[in-house]
Amino acid sequence: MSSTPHTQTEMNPQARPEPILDIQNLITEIRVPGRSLRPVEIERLVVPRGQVVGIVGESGSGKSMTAYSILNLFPTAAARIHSGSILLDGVDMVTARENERVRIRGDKVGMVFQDYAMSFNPVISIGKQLMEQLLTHGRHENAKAKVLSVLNEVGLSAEVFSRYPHELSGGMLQRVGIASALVCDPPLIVADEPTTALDVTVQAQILELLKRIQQERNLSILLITHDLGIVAEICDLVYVMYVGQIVEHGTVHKIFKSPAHPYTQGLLQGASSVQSVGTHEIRVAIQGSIPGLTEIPSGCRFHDRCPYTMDICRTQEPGFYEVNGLQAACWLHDPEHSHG
Amino acid sequence: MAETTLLEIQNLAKYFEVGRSLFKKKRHLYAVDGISVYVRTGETLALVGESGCGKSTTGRLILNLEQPTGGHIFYRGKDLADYTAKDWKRYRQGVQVVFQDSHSSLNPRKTIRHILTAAMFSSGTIPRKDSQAAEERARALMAEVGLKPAETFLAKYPNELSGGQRQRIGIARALSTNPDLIVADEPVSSLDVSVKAQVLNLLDTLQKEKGVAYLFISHELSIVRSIADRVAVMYLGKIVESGPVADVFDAKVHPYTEALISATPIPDPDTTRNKKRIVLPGGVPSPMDPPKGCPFHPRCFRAEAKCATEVPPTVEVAPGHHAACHFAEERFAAFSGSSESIRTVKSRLCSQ
Repeated sequence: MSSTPHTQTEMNPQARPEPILDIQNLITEIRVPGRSLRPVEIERLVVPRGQVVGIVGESGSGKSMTAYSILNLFPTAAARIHSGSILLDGVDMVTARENERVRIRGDKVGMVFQDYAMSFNPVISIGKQLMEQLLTHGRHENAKAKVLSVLNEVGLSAEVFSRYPHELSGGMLQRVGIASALVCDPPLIVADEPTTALDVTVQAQILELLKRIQQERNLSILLITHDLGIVAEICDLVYVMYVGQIVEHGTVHKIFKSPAHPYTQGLLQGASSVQSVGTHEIRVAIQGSIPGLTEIPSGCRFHDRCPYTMDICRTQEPGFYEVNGLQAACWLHDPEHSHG
Repeated sequence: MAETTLLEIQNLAKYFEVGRSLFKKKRHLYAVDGISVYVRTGETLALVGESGCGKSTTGRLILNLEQPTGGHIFYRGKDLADYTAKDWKRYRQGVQVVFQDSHSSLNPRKTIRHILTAAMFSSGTIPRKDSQAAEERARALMAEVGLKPAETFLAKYPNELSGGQRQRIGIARALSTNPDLIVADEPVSSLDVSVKAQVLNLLDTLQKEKGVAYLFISHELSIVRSIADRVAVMYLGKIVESGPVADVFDAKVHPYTEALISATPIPDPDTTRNKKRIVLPGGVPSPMDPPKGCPFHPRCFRAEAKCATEVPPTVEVAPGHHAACHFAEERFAAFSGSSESIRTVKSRLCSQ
């Protein structure tokens, strides 16, 4: 992330060598009796080194399942990666053996969860839980000193080391959550809605903390959120997800300035219209609600909510088209169909 | 618009007893600590603040789901404390509620038809004998909240509906008694961005059509900005600033209001990265042990010595615009000297 808006605007993620995370043709499936649902179908998602990449979408768009896929660690045994590759610093998480994955989680990628209260063991002190990670990763030397320095880095005092999760406030626990993601010094952090459960003044603190750590450590962050305000604030690149697929991606300034996909346009209109003061005018940009995985529409998945639907949208899935430096999966930008 | 006061709250307080046992001294949680606000007919008053500030408790006190420790609530000029059974019946029809969690506030074992008609019958809006009228009213309500075809939705169970649809049922149920005030406690907080706009739009349309007033409880300032007429900002059980929404959001007389607004991310990279951000230290103190003096002083970037000892008085900085800060007038003067948008306030001052 950069404080000046212009330094990274012209950067093309595909052109940079060896990104920290490179997802290709990923399909994640959930097996339910009689069939398999596909919450994630991502053609390509790249996190360049030292950048903050946002995945934005509504609930049910598959953004959290994408995070779980990256760690290859699912909340339910019914979910698994069907095919594709997830290159984490050059190592494929899909084909790696389980003991190798255990090493990668923590060493290469740290995870910050939304529900900080549930992500800690209530009967073990904070310090012990953070130490445990270092010990499982074979770093026995100066483990305590390392934990204390990470706690200090996230703005917590040393006494937190001997505290228990219930003794801490939500904001402090989320700081511990970030410390836990950082303790093995991974180059990448996946943060799944890290501030959604927090109050707005505490959210501001956590965002400042993430920004500072990102700059100090030159971290890469994959930030998953539904809040466009947060994306605008700290992301360099943005991927917009809808029903398991990426519909548009590009630099944050371009996405917010001239979104090319009707879904992104609708999301942004919805978000900016609720900002206007005392107008009592709320523009409803998108009708209906996001379809479930059992009722995925044919063709373009957004066609039944889209204001510009054409015939082809109902039958064929669009590929990506380059529009003003953005990549958008929409038939409107196909030269043969963009007459309207 | 004829603006009469529909609901008035004076010095309302609610202290919860906590941790009482044989050997422990009993302690109090000061959830709501002496607040005074009013709601006029047909307007939206937004109650904003962070979690634990007492905004939901205020809503529950108004709904008579909690008994106040002190203070008064007047509905149409009559104190709730003096209510007779007949008054209560009218109150239950007149004041309704929409909850945040549409999942747990609708009975999963009853059809939507049952949920709606039960509300009409038990509130006495429609006599129990007249099931035909109830059915007609239920269908009309479905049309009003935009669920078509009514017949299909009335036969469904809550779990068959999406979050946005369930919240529409919650709104329909609140409307079923023809209320003139709806307490909406975080009605859109659990909804997605696109659905959120739809439900807000529905609430706004219903207000224009029916003249129903809302007490809109929310932690999301961006929503409050667009939907409210007046806003009251709460912190630790007290109202720190209140007034017309444009005045409060422009002038930000209370430092807490200023911090809250500056902390909200704006969905525009250029604006949000260049604006001055106030990051408050720490979290909200425990309402069991609120700070002395001004409750906000330990986190305040403007605090001086007297803030720690003296409770700031609530002063009216402009007509209808109140703030509880020792420097309220000073801050307002600094703002009106510097800003263009204050002209509106000034012209109103002159006209009175």
